Amino acid sequence: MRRWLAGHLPAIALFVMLLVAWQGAVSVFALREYILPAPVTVLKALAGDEIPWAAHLWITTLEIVGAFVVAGAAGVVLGVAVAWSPVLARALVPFLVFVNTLPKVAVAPLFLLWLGYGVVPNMLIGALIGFFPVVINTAVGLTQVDDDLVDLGRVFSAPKWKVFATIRIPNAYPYILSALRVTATAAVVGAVVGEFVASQKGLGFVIMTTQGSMNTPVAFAALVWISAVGLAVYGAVVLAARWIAPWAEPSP
Amino acid sequence: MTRLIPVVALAGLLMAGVVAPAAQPMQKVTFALNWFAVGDHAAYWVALDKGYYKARGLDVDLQNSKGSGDSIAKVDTGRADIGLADSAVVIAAVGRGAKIRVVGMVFDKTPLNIWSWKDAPIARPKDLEGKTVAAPPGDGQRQVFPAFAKLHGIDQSKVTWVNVEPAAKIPALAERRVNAVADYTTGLPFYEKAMGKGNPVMMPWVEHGFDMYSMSIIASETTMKDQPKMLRAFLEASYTGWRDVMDNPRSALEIFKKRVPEIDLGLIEPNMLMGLELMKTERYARHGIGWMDDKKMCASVDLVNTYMGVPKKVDCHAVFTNEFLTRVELPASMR
Repeated sequence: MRRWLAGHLPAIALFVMLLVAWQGAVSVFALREYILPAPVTVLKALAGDEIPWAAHLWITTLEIVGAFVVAGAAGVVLGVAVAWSPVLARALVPFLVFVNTLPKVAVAPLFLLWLGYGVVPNMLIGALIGFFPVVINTAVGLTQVDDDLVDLGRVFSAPKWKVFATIRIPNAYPYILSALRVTATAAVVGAVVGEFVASQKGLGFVIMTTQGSMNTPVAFAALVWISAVGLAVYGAVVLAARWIAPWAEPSP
Repeated sequence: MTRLIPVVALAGLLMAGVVAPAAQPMQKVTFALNWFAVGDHAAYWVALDKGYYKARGLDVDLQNSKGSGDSIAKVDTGRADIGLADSAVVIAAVGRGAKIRVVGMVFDKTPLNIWSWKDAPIARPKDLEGKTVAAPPGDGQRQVFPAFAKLHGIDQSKVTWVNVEPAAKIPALAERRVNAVADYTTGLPFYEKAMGKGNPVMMPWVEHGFDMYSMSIIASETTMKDQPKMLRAFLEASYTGWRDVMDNPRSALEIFKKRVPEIDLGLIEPNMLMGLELMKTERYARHGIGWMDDKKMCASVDLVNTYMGVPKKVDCHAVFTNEFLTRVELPASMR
Protein backbone atom coordinates (compact mmCIF):
# COMPACT_ATOMS: atom_id res chain seq x y z
CA MET A 1 0.00 0.00 0.00
CA ARG A 2 2.72 2.41 1.00
CA ARG A 3 4.74 1.56 -2.10
CA TRP A 4 1.69 1.99 -4.28
CA LEU A 5 1.10 5.38 -2.73
CA ALA A 6 4.71 6.42 -3.22
CA GLY A 7 4.54 5.38 -6.85
CA HIS A 8 1.37 7.30 -7.58
CA LEU A 9 1.95 10.29 -5.36
CA PRO A 10 3.20 12.59 -8.15
CA ALA A 11 0.12 11.90 -10.28
CA ILE A 12 -2.28 12.36 -7.37
CA ALA A 13 -0.57 15.56 -6.24
CA LEU A 14 -0.74 17.04 -9.74
CA PHE A 15 -4.41 16.10 -10.03
CA VAL A 16 -5.29 17.68 -6.69
CA MET A 17 -3.31 20.81 -7.55
CA LEU A 18 -5.15 21.17 -10.83
CA LEU A 19 -8.51 20.82 -9.08
CA VAL A 20 -7.56 23.46 -6.53
CA ALA A 21 -6.33 25.83 -9.26
CA TRP A 22 -9.55 25.26 -11.22
CA GLN A 23 -11.76 25.96 -8.20
CA GLY A 24 -9.63 28.99 -7.38
CA ALA A 25 -9.78 30.38 -10.90
CA VAL A 26 -13.57 30.08 -10.99
CA SER A 27 -13.91 31.93 -7.67
CA VAL A 28 -11.29 34.60 -8.35
CA PHE A 29 -12.44 35.50 -11.86
CA ALA A 30 -16.12 35.00 -10.96
CA LEU A 31 -16.59 32.82 -14.06
CA ARG A 32 -20.17 32.15 -14.98
CA GLU A 33 -21.31 28.62 -14.30
CA TYR A 34 -22.39 27.90 -17.86
CA ILE A 35 -18.97 28.87 -19.21
CA LEU A 36 -16.82 27.01 -16.66
CA PRO A 37 -18.48 25.37 -13.65
CA ALA A 38 -16.38 24.91 -10.51
CA PRO A 39 -15.30 21.35 -9.58
CA VAL A 40 -17.64 21.43 -6.58
CA THR A 41 -20.59 22.26 -8.85
CA VAL A 42 -19.64 19.41 -11.17
CA LEU A 43 -19.46 17.07 -8.19
CA LYS A 44 -22.97 18.11 -7.21
CA ALA A 45 -24.18 17.41 -10.74
CA LEU A 46 -22.53 13.97 -10.55
CA ALA A 47 -24.29 13.17 -7.31
CA GLY A 48 -27.63 14.66 -8.32
CA ASP A 49 -30.53 12.59 -9.58
CA GLU A 50 -31.37 15.05 -12.40
CA ILE A 51 -29.92 12.59 -14.91
CA PRO A 52 -30.40 8.78 -14.85
CA TRP A 53 -26.65 8.23 -15.05
CA ALA A 54 -26.72 4.43 -14.88
CA ALA A 55 -28.82 4.05 -18.06
CA HIS A 56 -26.63 6.41 -20.07
CA LEU A 57 -23.45 4.91 -18.67
CA TRP A 58 -24.59 1.44 -19.70
CA ILE A 59 -25.27 2.47 -23.32
CA THR A 60 -21.98 4.30 -23.75
CA THR A 61 -19.99 1.51 -22.10
CA LEU A 62 -21.64 -0.99 -24.40
CA GLU A 63 -20.68 1.10 -27.42
CA ILE A 64 -17.09 1.51 -26.25
CA VAL A 65 -16.58 -2.17 -25.46
CA GLY A 66 -18.27 -3.17 -28.73
CA ALA A 67 -16.10 -0.76 -30.71
CA PHE A 68 -13.00 -2.11 -29.00
CA VAL A 69 -13.83 -5.74 -29.70
CA VAL A 70 -14.73 -5.10 -33.36
CA ALA A 71 -11.62 -2.97 -33.91
CA GLY A 72 -9.39 -5.52 -32.20
CA ALA A 73 -10.78 -8.51 -34.07
CA ALA A 74 -10.90 -6.82 -37.47
CA GLY A 75 -7.46 -5.33 -36.90
CA VAL A 76 -5.84 -8.68 -36.07
CA VAL A 77 -7.51 -10.46 -39.00
CA LEU A 78 -6.45 -7.77 -41.45
CA GLY A 79 -2.97 -7.68 -39.93
CA VAL A 80 -2.60 -11.43 -40.40
CA ALA A 81 -3.83 -11.12 -43.98
CA VAL A 82 -1.26 -8.44 -44.69
CA ALA A 83 1.55 -10.51 -43.18
CA TRP A 84 0.38 -13.75 -44.81
CA SER A 85 0.78 -12.81 -48.42
CA PRO A 86 2.69 -9.99 -50.12
CA VAL A 87 -0.02 -9.80 -52.80
CA LEU A 88 -2.73 -9.26 -50.19
CA ALA A 89 -0.52 -6.69 -48.49
CA ARG A 90 -0.11 -4.74 -51.72
CA ALA A 91 -3.86 -4.84 -52.29
CA LEU A 92 -4.96 -4.04 -48.75
CA VAL A 93 -2.50 -1.55 -47.37
CA PRO A 94 -3.23 1.41 -49.65
CA PHE A 95 -6.95 0.89 -49.11
CA LEU A 96 -6.57 0.69 -45.33
CA VAL A 97 -4.46 3.83 -45.29
CA PHE A 98 -7.15 5.57 -47.32
CA VAL A 99 -9.86 4.52 -44.87
CA ASN A 100 -7.75 5.63 -41.96
CA THR A 101 -7.14 9.09 -43.38
CA LEU A 102 -10.88 9.78 -43.75
CA PRO A 103 -11.85 12.29 -41.11
CA LYS A 104 -14.25 10.21 -38.99
CA VAL A 105 -16.11 13.25 -37.71
CA ALA A 106 -17.12 14.01 -41.28
CA VAL A 107 -17.99 10.40 -42.07
CA ALA A 108 -20.00 9.76 -38.91
CA PRO A 109 -23.17 11.59 -40.04
CA LEU A 110 -23.25 9.54 -43.27
CA PHE A 111 -22.64 6.34 -41.35
CA LEU A 112 -25.62 7.02 -39.15
CA LEU A 113 -27.72 7.89 -42.16
CA TRP A 114 -26.96 4.53 -43.77
CA LEU A 115 -27.23 2.37 -40.68
CA GLY A 116 -29.78 4.23 -38.62
CA TYR A 117 -29.35 5.53 -35.10
CA GLY A 118 -28.52 3.35 -32.16
CA VAL A 119 -25.82 1.41 -30.39
CA VAL A 120 -24.43 -0.63 -33.29
CA PRO A 121 -23.60 2.25 -35.67
CA ASN A 122 -21.81 4.03 -32.84
CA MET A 123 -19.78 0.89 -32.17
CA LEU A 124 -18.79 0.79 -35.82
CA ILE A 125 -17.68 4.42 -35.80
CA GLY A 126 -15.52 3.67 -32.78
CA ALA A 127 -14.13 0.59 -34.50
CA LEU A 128 -13.39 2.60 -37.64
CA ILE A 129 -11.33 5.05 -35.62
CA GLY A 130 -9.50 2.39 -33.63
CA PHE A 131 -8.71 -0.51 -35.95
CA PHE A 132 -5.77 0.86 -37.91
CA PRO A 133 -3.00 0.71 -35.31
CA VAL A 134 -3.94 -2.91 -34.65
CA VAL A 135 -3.54 -3.83 -38.33
CA ILE A 136 -0.17 -2.17 -38.61
CA ASN A 137 1.19 -3.48 -35.34
CA THR A 138 -0.06 -7.01 -36.00
CA ALA A 139 1.57 -7.04 -39.41
CA VAL A 140 4.83 -5.68 -38.02
CA GLY A 141 4.79 -8.13 -35.11
CA LEU A 142 4.23 -11.05 -37.46
CA THR A 143 7.04 -10.13 -39.80
CA GLN A 144 9.69 -8.89 -37.38
CA VAL A 145 10.57 -12.40 -36.30
CA ASP A 146 13.98 -13.79 -35.51
CA ASP A 147 14.96 -15.39 -38.85
CA ASP A 148 16.60 -18.32 -37.07
CA LEU A 149 13.30 -19.32 -35.53
CA VAL A 150 11.56 -19.31 -38.89
CA ASP A 151 14.44 -21.28 -40.41
CA LEU A 152 14.10 -23.77 -37.61
CA GLY A 153 10.46 -24.24 -38.50
CA ARG A 154 11.40 -24.72 -42.12
CA VAL A 155 14.03 -27.33 -41.24
CA PHE A 156 11.34 -29.35 -39.53
CA SER A 157 9.18 -28.72 -42.63
CA ALA A 158 6.42 -27.06 -40.63
CA PRO A 159 3.55 -25.82 -42.80
CA LYS A 160 3.03 -22.06 -43.15
CA TRP A 161 0.04 -21.95 -40.80
CA LYS A 162 1.99 -23.73 -38.11
CA VAL A 163 4.85 -21.24 -38.33
CA PHE A 164 2.24 -18.52 -37.93
CA ALA A 165 0.53 -20.16 -35.00
CA THR A 166 3.59 -21.15 -32.99
CA ILE A 167 6.27 -18.63 -33.92
CA ARG A 168 4.89 -15.51 -35.57
CA ILE A 169 1.72 -14.90 -33.57
CA PRO A 170 3.31 -15.23 -30.11
CA ASN A 171 6.03 -12.91 -31.37
CA ALA A 172 3.36 -10.37 -32.32
CA TYR A 173 1.64 -10.33 -28.90
CA PRO A 174 3.51 -7.34 -27.49
CA TYR A 175 2.90 -5.37 -30.69
CA ILE A 176 -0.80 -6.18 -30.76
CA LEU A 177 -1.26 -5.46 -27.09
CA SER A 178 0.35 -2.06 -27.28
CA ALA A 179 -1.85 -1.22 -30.28
CA LEU A 180 -4.92 -2.30 -28.33
CA ARG A 181 -4.14 0.32 -25.71
CA VAL A 182 -4.43 2.99 -28.39
CA THR A 183 -7.61 1.36 -29.64
CA ALA A 184 -9.13 1.45 -26.15
CA THR A 185 -8.95 5.23 -26.09
CA ALA A 186 -10.00 5.57 -29.74
CA ALA A 187 -13.12 3.52 -29.01
CA VAL A 188 -14.16 6.08 -26.41
CA VAL A 189 -13.75 8.91 -28.91
CA GLY A 190 -15.70 6.99 -31.55
CA ALA A 191 -18.65 6.17 -29.33
CA VAL A 192 -19.00 9.78 -28.25
CA VAL A 193 -18.58 11.13 -31.79
CA GLY A 194 -21.45 8.88 -32.85
CA GLU A 195 -23.63 10.02 -29.99
CA PHE A 196 -22.90 13.63 -30.82
CA VAL A 197 -24.21 13.18 -34.35
CA ALA A 198 -27.43 11.40 -33.45
CA SER A 199 -28.59 9.53 -30.37
CA GLN A 200 -31.40 8.91 -27.92
CA LYS A 201 -29.28 7.76 -24.98
CA GLY A 202 -25.72 7.72 -23.75
CA LEU A 203 -23.25 10.12 -22.18
CA GLY A 204 -22.68 11.96 -25.48
CA PHE A 205 -26.44 12.45 -25.67
CA VAL A 206 -26.38 13.95 -22.17
CA ILE A 207 -23.60 16.35 -23.17
CA MET A 208 -25.45 17.50 -26.29
CA THR A 209 -28.75 17.93 -24.49
CA THR A 210 -27.40 19.81 -21.52
CA GLN A 211 -25.17 22.04 -23.61
CA GLY A 212 -28.25 22.96 -25.59
CA SER A 213 -29.86 24.36 -22.49
CA MET A 214 -26.57 25.78 -21.17
CA ASN A 215 -26.52 23.34 -18.29
CA THR A 216 -22.74 23.03 -18.39
CA PRO A 217 -22.22 21.45 -14.93
CA VAL A 218 -24.09 18.33 -16.05
CA ALA A 219 -22.15 18.27 -19.33
CA PHE A 220 -18.92 18.30 -17.30
CA ALA A 221 -20.26 15.54 -15.06
CA ALA A 222 -20.92 13.43 -18.18
CA LEU A 223 -17.31 14.11 -19.26
CA VAL A 224 -16.13 12.79 -15.91
CA TRP A 225 -18.12 9.60 -16.48
CA ILE A 226 -16.75 9.22 -19.99
CA SER A 227 -13.17 9.48 -18.81
CA ALA A 228 -13.95 7.03 -16.00
CA VAL A 229 -15.20 4.48 -18.54
CA GLY A 230 -12.21 5.22 -20.76
CA LEU A 231 -9.77 4.65 -17.91
CA ALA A 232 -11.54 1.44 -16.90
CA VAL A 233 -11.34 0.01 -20.43
CA TYR A 234 -7.71 1.05 -20.72
CA GLY A 235 -6.93 -0.48 -17.34
CA ALA A 236 -8.62 -3.73 -18.35
CA VAL A 237 -6.48 -3.91 -21.50
CA VAL A 238 -3.30 -3.32 -19.52
CA LEU A 239 -4.25 -6.04 -17.01
CA ALA A 240 -5.14 -8.48 -19.78
CA ALA A 241 -1.83 -7.75 -21.47
CA ARG A 242 0.06 -8.48 -18.28
CA TRP A 243 -1.73 -11.81 -18.05
CA ILE A 244 -1.41 -12.90 -21.70
CA ALA A 245 2.11 -11.75 -22.37
CA PRO A 246 3.84 -10.89 -19.11
CA TRP A 247 7.23 -10.72 -20.84
CA ALA A 248 5.99 -7.89 -23.03
CA GLU A 249 5.27 -5.43 -20.23
CA PRO A 250 6.58 -2.05 -21.35
CA SER A 251 8.14 0.16 -18.72
CA PRO A 252 5.53 2.63 -17.42
CA MET B 1 -6.29 53.97 -74.31
CA THR B 2 -6.60 50.98 -72.00
CA ARG B 3 -3.40 52.12 -70.34
CA LEU B 4 -5.13 55.20 -69.19
CA ILE B 5 -7.60 53.31 -67.03
CA PRO B 6 -5.17 52.29 -64.28
CA VAL B 7 -3.83 55.82 -64.21
CA VAL B 8 -7.30 57.23 -63.77
CA ALA B 9 -8.09 54.62 -61.13
CA LEU B 10 -4.88 55.47 -59.33
CA ALA B 11 -5.71 59.14 -59.41
CA GLY B 12 -9.12 58.30 -57.99
CA LEU B 13 -7.55 56.30 -55.20
CA LEU B 14 -5.17 59.11 -54.39
CA MET B 15 -7.99 61.59 -54.21
CA ALA B 16 -9.95 59.26 -51.98
CA GLY B 17 -6.84 59.00 -49.84
CA VAL B 18 -6.73 62.75 -49.49
CA VAL B 19 -10.36 62.87 -48.44
CA ALA B 20 -10.24 59.90 -46.06
CA PRO B 21 -8.37 61.43 -43.09
CA ALA B 22 -11.30 63.79 -42.60
CA ALA B 23 -13.54 60.79 -41.81
CA GLN B 24 -13.66 59.36 -38.27
CA PRO B 25 -11.71 56.21 -37.50
CA MET B 26 -13.86 53.14 -38.06
CA GLN B 27 -15.01 51.20 -35.02
CA LYS B 28 -14.55 47.43 -35.22
CA VAL B 29 -17.71 45.44 -34.50
CA THR B 30 -17.98 41.65 -34.49
CA PHE B 31 -21.44 40.28 -35.23
CA ALA B 32 -21.94 36.59 -34.44
CA LEU B 33 -24.54 35.05 -36.76
CA ASN B 34 -26.38 32.05 -35.31
CA TRP B 35 -25.47 29.60 -38.06
CA PHE B 36 -23.86 29.21 -41.47
CA ALA B 37 -25.40 31.31 -44.23
CA VAL B 38 -29.20 31.03 -44.35
CA GLY B 39 -31.87 33.25 -45.86
CA ASP B 40 -32.45 35.44 -42.84
CA HIS B 41 -28.79 36.52 -42.88
CA ALA B 42 -29.18 38.34 -46.19
CA ALA B 43 -30.12 41.63 -44.51
CA TYR B 44 -26.75 41.98 -42.76
CA TRP B 45 -24.81 41.32 -45.93
CA VAL B 46 -26.96 43.91 -47.70
CA ALA B 47 -26.27 46.44 -44.93
CA LEU B 48 -22.58 45.68 -45.25
CA ASP B 49 -22.51 45.79 -49.04
CA LYS B 50 -24.49 49.02 -49.30
CA GLY B 51 -22.27 50.68 -46.71
CA TYR B 52 -24.99 51.21 -44.09
CA TYR B 53 -22.58 50.16 -41.34
CA LYS B 54 -19.69 52.11 -42.81
CA ALA B 55 -21.76 55.29 -43.09
CA ARG B 56 -22.25 55.06 -39.32
CA GLY B 57 -18.57 54.55 -38.63
CA LEU B 58 -18.81 50.79 -38.09
CA ASP B 59 -16.45 48.23 -39.55
CA VAL B 60 -18.60 45.11 -39.12
CA ASP B 61 -17.25 41.58 -39.28
CA LEU B 62 -19.91 38.86 -39.76
CA GLN B 63 -18.99 35.53 -38.18
CA ASN B 64 -20.70 32.14 -38.42
CA SER B 65 -21.58 30.19 -35.27
CA LYS B 66 -22.76 26.68 -34.48
CA GLY B 67 -26.21 27.46 -33.14
CA SER B 68 -27.70 29.92 -30.68
CA GLY B 69 -25.79 28.52 -27.70
CA ASP B 70 -22.54 29.24 -29.50
CA SER B 71 -23.42 32.79 -30.54
CA ILE B 72 -24.70 33.56 -27.02
CA ALA B 73 -21.45 32.36 -25.47
CA LYS B 74 -19.48 34.51 -27.93
CA VAL B 75 -21.46 37.63 -27.05
CA ASP B 76 -21.44 36.95 -23.31
CA THR B 77 -17.67 36.41 -23.19
CA GLY B 78 -16.90 39.40 -25.39
CA ARG B 79 -15.62 37.43 -28.37
CA ALA B 80 -18.41 39.12 -30.31
CA ASP B 81 -20.09 42.46 -29.64
CA ILE B 82 -23.52 41.61 -30.99
CA GLY B 83 -25.13 38.32 -32.02
CA LEU B 84 -28.12 36.46 -33.44
CA ALA B 85 -29.82 33.86 -31.23
CA ASP B 86 -33.13 32.19 -30.56
CA SER B 87 -34.98 33.99 -27.76
CA ALA B 88 -35.86 30.77 -25.92
CA VAL B 89 -32.19 29.92 -25.63
CA VAL B 90 -31.33 33.52 -24.69
CA ILE B 91 -33.84 33.45 -21.82
CA ALA B 92 -32.52 30.10 -20.60
CA ALA B 93 -28.97 31.48 -20.75
CA VAL B 94 -29.97 34.54 -18.71
CA GLY B 95 -31.45 32.14 -16.16
CA ARG B 96 -28.02 30.55 -15.95
CA GLY B 97 -26.19 33.79 -15.41
CA ALA B 98 -25.42 35.09 -18.91
CA LYS B 99 -25.21 38.89 -18.94
CA ILE B 100 -26.99 39.52 -22.22
CA ARG B 101 -30.22 40.99 -23.54
CA VAL B 102 -32.37 40.92 -26.62
CA VAL B 103 -32.03 44.35 -28.24
CA GLY B 104 -34.10 43.76 -31.37
CA MET B 105 -36.35 41.07 -32.84
CA VAL B 106 -35.95 39.40 -36.22
CA PHE B 107 -39.03 37.23 -36.75
CA ASP B 108 -42.16 38.68 -35.18
CA LYS B 109 -44.22 35.52 -35.71
CA THR B 110 -42.74 32.26 -34.55
CA PRO B 111 -41.32 29.87 -37.16
CA LEU B 112 -41.44 26.97 -34.66
CA ASN B 113 -42.84 23.95 -36.44
CA ILE B 114 -42.90 20.16 -36.84
CA TRP B 115 -42.13 18.50 -40.20
CA SER B 116 -43.43 15.11 -41.30
CA TRP B 117 -44.20 13.03 -44.42
CA LYS B 118 -47.40 13.45 -46.43
CA ASP B 119 -48.13 9.70 -46.23
CA ALA B 120 -47.65 9.69 -42.43
CA PRO B 121 -48.65 13.22 -41.57
CA ILE B 122 -48.50 14.90 -38.21
CA ALA B 123 -51.13 17.52 -38.77
CA ARG B 124 -52.37 17.96 -35.21
CA PRO B 125 -50.31 18.21 -32.02
CA LYS B 126 -51.89 15.03 -30.62
CA ASP B 127 -50.53 13.09 -33.62
CA LEU B 128 -47.07 13.37 -32.06
CA GLU B 129 -47.88 10.70 -29.48
CA GLY B 130 -46.11 7.44 -30.26
CA LYS B 131 -43.79 9.15 -32.74
CA THR B 132 -40.04 9.64 -32.96
CA VAL B 133 -38.99 13.25 -33.43
CA ALA B 134 -35.50 14.46 -34.29
CA ALA B 135 -34.09 17.86 -33.34
CA PRO B 136 -30.79 19.38 -32.31
CA PRO B 137 -30.96 19.69 -28.51
CA GLY B 138 -30.18 23.41 -28.56
CA ASP B 139 -32.96 24.36 -30.97
CA GLY B 140 -35.85 26.52 -29.87
CA GLN B 141 -38.60 23.99 -30.54
CA ARG B 142 -36.79 21.22 -28.66
CA GLN B 143 -36.32 23.54 -25.70
CA VAL B 144 -39.89 24.79 -25.40
CA PHE B 145 -41.61 21.59 -26.48
CA PRO B 146 -42.73 20.81 -22.90
CA ALA B 147 -44.76 24.02 -23.00
CA PHE B 148 -46.32 23.10 -26.34
CA ALA B 149 -47.10 19.60 -25.08
CA LYS B 150 -48.78 20.97 -21.99
CA LEU B 151 -50.90 23.35 -24.03
CA HIS B 152 -52.30 20.51 -26.15
CA GLY B 153 -52.37 17.76 -23.57
CA ILE B 154 -49.73 15.70 -25.39
CA ASP B 155 -48.42 12.84 -23.26
CA GLN B 156 -44.69 13.63 -23.31
CA SER B 157 -43.68 10.14 -22.30
CA LYS B 158 -45.09 8.94 -25.63
CA VAL B 159 -42.87 11.22 -27.73
CA THR B 160 -39.36 9.90 -28.36
CA TRP B 161 -36.74 12.55 -29.08
CA VAL B 162 -33.59 11.83 -31.06
CA ASN B 163 -30.70 14.25 -30.70
CA VAL B 164 -29.29 15.06 -34.11
CA GLU B 165 -26.74 17.50 -35.42
CA PRO B 166 -28.33 20.50 -37.11
CA ALA B 167 -27.02 19.28 -40.46
CA ALA B 168 -28.64 15.86 -39.94
CA LYS B 169 -32.19 17.18 -39.44
CA ILE B 170 -33.35 16.97 -43.04
CA PRO B 171 -31.73 13.65 -43.99
CA ALA B 172 -33.15 12.09 -40.80
CA LEU B 173 -36.68 12.76 -42.05
CA ALA B 174 -35.98 12.23 -45.74
CA GLU B 175 -34.50 8.79 -45.01
CA ARG B 176 -37.40 8.04 -42.64
CA ARG B 177 -35.10 7.39 -39.73
CA VAL B 178 -37.61 9.37 -37.67
CA ASN B 179 -41.31 10.18 -38.04
CA ALA B 180 -40.88 13.91 -37.65
CA VAL B 181 -38.35 16.70 -37.33
CA ALA B 182 -38.78 19.86 -35.27
CA ASP B 183 -37.52 22.73 -37.41
CA TYR B 184 -38.45 26.24 -38.58
CA THR B 185 -41.16 26.65 -41.21
CA THR B 186 -38.65 28.60 -43.29
CA GLY B 187 -36.86 25.33 -44.02
CA LEU B 188 -39.51 24.29 -46.57
CA PRO B 189 -37.30 24.57 -49.67
CA PHE B 190 -34.63 22.38 -48.04
CA TYR B 191 -37.19 19.72 -47.06
CA GLU B 192 -38.76 19.81 -50.52
CA LYS B 193 -35.40 19.29 -52.12
CA ALA B 194 -34.69 16.20 -50.01
CA MET B 195 -38.21 14.71 -49.88
CA GLY B 196 -39.70 15.84 -53.17
CA LYS B 197 -42.14 18.64 -53.84
CA GLY B 198 -45.47 18.30 -52.05
CA ASN B 199 -44.20 15.63 -49.65
CA PRO B 200 -43.22 17.62 -46.56
CA VAL B 201 -46.08 18.40 -44.15
CA MET B 202 -45.85 21.37 -41.81
CA MET B 203 -47.46 21.89 -38.43
CA PRO B 204 -46.63 25.53 -37.58
CA TRP B 205 -47.03 26.08 -33.85
CA VAL B 206 -48.34 29.56 -34.44
CA GLU B 207 -51.43 27.98 -36.00
CA HIS B 208 -51.91 25.92 -32.87
CA GLY B 209 -52.14 28.67 -30.32
CA PHE B 210 -48.42 28.90 -29.56
CA ASP B 211 -46.64 32.12 -30.33
CA MET B 212 -43.31 32.84 -28.79
CA TYR B 213 -40.45 35.09 -29.81
CA SER B 214 -37.65 33.29 -31.62
CA MET B 215 -34.78 34.67 -33.74
CA SER B 216 -33.48 37.89 -32.20
CA ILE B 217 -30.49 40.24 -32.03
CA ILE B 218 -28.63 40.19 -28.73
CA ALA B 219 -25.93 42.24 -27.02
CA SER B 220 -24.03 41.93 -23.75
CA GLU B 221 -24.71 44.17 -20.78
CA THR B 222 -21.17 45.50 -21.21
CA THR B 223 -21.78 46.53 -24.81
CA MET B 224 -25.06 48.18 -23.82
CA LYS B 225 -23.39 50.17 -21.08
CA ASP B 226 -20.11 51.10 -22.76
CA GLN B 227 -21.11 51.46 -26.41
CA PRO B 228 -24.76 52.49 -26.62
CA LYS B 229 -24.07 54.66 -29.68
CA MET B 230 -22.44 51.84 -31.58
CA LEU B 231 -25.30 49.50 -30.71
CA ARG B 232 -27.92 51.99 -31.81
CA ALA B 233 -26.08 52.63 -35.08
CA PHE B 234 -25.68 48.91 -35.70
CA LEU B 235 -29.37 48.17 -35.19
CA GLU B 236 -30.47 51.04 -37.40
CA ALA B 237 -28.14 49.92 -40.19
CA SER B 238 -29.20 46.28 -39.84
CA TYR B 239 -32.92 46.98 -39.93
CA THR B 240 -32.36 49.30 -42.88
CA GLY B 241 -30.76 46.26 -44.51
CA TRP B 242 -33.90 44.29 -43.65
CA ARG B 243 -36.07 47.00 -45.19
CA ASP B 244 -34.07 46.75 -48.41
CA VAL B 245 -34.48 42.97 -48.42
CA MET B 246 -38.25 43.38 -48.09
CA ASP B 247 -38.33 46.07 -50.71
CA ASN B 248 -36.30 44.22 -53.29
CA PRO B 249 -35.64 40.58 -52.40
CA ARG B 250 -34.06 39.87 -55.77
CA SER B 251 -31.33 42.44 -55.52
CA ALA B 252 -30.75 41.40 -51.89
CA LEU B 253 -30.15 37.84 -53.07
CA GLU B 254 -27.68 39.06 -55.69
CA ILE B 255 -25.70 40.85 -53.00
CA PHE B 256 -25.89 37.82 -50.71
CA LYS B 257 -24.59 35.53 -53.46
CA LYS B 258 -21.80 37.96 -54.28
CA ARG B 259 -20.71 38.09 -50.63
CA VAL B 260 -21.24 34.40 -49.80
CA PRO B 261 -20.72 32.48 -53.06
CA GLU B 262 -21.29 29.09 -51.37
CA ILE B 263 -25.03 29.62 -51.00
CA ASP B 264 -27.49 27.88 -53.33
CA LEU B 265 -29.90 30.58 -54.44
CA GLY B 266 -32.54 28.03 -55.46
CA LEU B 267 -32.88 27.14 -51.79
CA ILE B 268 -31.96 30.40 -50.11
CA GLU B 269 -34.53 32.45 -52.08
CA PRO B 270 -37.68 30.67 -50.87
CA ASN B 271 -36.04 30.26 -47.45
CA MET B 272 -35.58 34.03 -47.24
CA LEU B 273 -39.05 34.82 -48.59
CA MET B 274 -40.69 32.60 -45.99
CA GLY B 275 -38.80 34.48 -43.31
CA LEU B 276 -40.22 37.74 -44.62
CA GLU B 277 -43.73 36.37 -44.15
CA LEU B 278 -42.97 36.10 -40.43
CA MET B 279 -42.24 39.83 -40.35
CA LYS B 280 -45.33 41.02 -42.18
CA THR B 281 -47.17 41.87 -38.98
CA GLU B 282 -49.40 44.50 -37.47
CA ARG B 283 -46.83 45.11 -34.72
CA TYR B 284 -43.97 45.85 -37.10
CA ALA B 285 -46.26 48.03 -39.23
CA ARG B 286 -47.17 50.07 -36.20
CA HIS B 287 -43.85 50.27 -34.36
CA GLY B 288 -41.16 49.61 -36.94
CA ILE B 289 -39.06 46.54 -37.73
CA GLY B 290 -37.52 44.77 -34.76
CA TRP B 291 -39.77 46.29 -32.10
CA MET B 292 -40.74 44.00 -29.23
CA ASP B 293 -44.04 43.77 -27.45
CA ASP B 294 -43.80 43.74 -23.68
CA LYS B 295 -46.70 41.34 -23.25
CA LYS B 296 -45.50 38.83 -25.81
CA MET B 297 -41.95 38.86 -24.44
CA CYS B 298 -43.19 38.34 -20.88
CA ALA B 299 -45.37 35.45 -22.07
CA SER B 300 -42.33 33.92 -23.80
CA VAL B 301 -40.23 34.29 -20.64
CA ASP B 302 -43.05 32.70 -18.65
CA LEU B 303 -42.95 29.63 -20.88
CA VAL B 304 -39.21 29.26 -20.34
CA ASN B 305 -39.49 29.83 -16.58
CA THR B 306 -42.22 27.23 -16.29
CA TYR B 307 -41.03 24.49 -18.60
CA MET B 308 -37.31 24.68 -19.24
CA GLY B 309 -35.94 24.01 -15.76
CA VAL B 310 -33.83 27.15 -15.36
CA PRO B 311 -32.21 27.35 -11.92
CA LYS B 312 -33.65 30.79 -11.18
CA LYS B 313 -36.74 32.50 -12.56
CA VAL B 314 -36.01 35.15 -15.17
CA ASP B 315 -37.61 38.60 -15.03
CA CYS B 316 -38.84 39.40 -18.53
CA HIS B 317 -37.80 43.05 -18.25
CA ALA B 318 -34.24 41.93 -17.60
CA VAL B 319 -34.23 40.02 -20.89
CA PHE B 320 -35.04 42.61 -23.51
CA THR B 321 -35.02 46.30 -24.26
CA ASN B 322 -36.33 48.45 -27.12
CA GLU B 323 -34.11 51.28 -25.95
CA PHE B 324 -31.54 50.98 -28.75
CA LEU B 325 -33.99 50.74 -31.62
CA THR B 326 -34.33 53.52 -34.13
CA ARG B 327 -37.63 53.29 -35.96
CA VAL B 328 -37.22 51.68 -39.39
CA GLU B 329 -40.54 51.47 -41.22
CA LEU B 330 -41.86 48.38 -42.97
CA PRO B 331 -41.88 49.11 -46.71
CA ALA B 332 -45.23 49.47 -48.46
CA SER B 333 -44.88 45.99 -50.00
CA MET B 334 -45.03 44.45 -46.53
CA ARG B 335 -48.14 46.18 -45.26
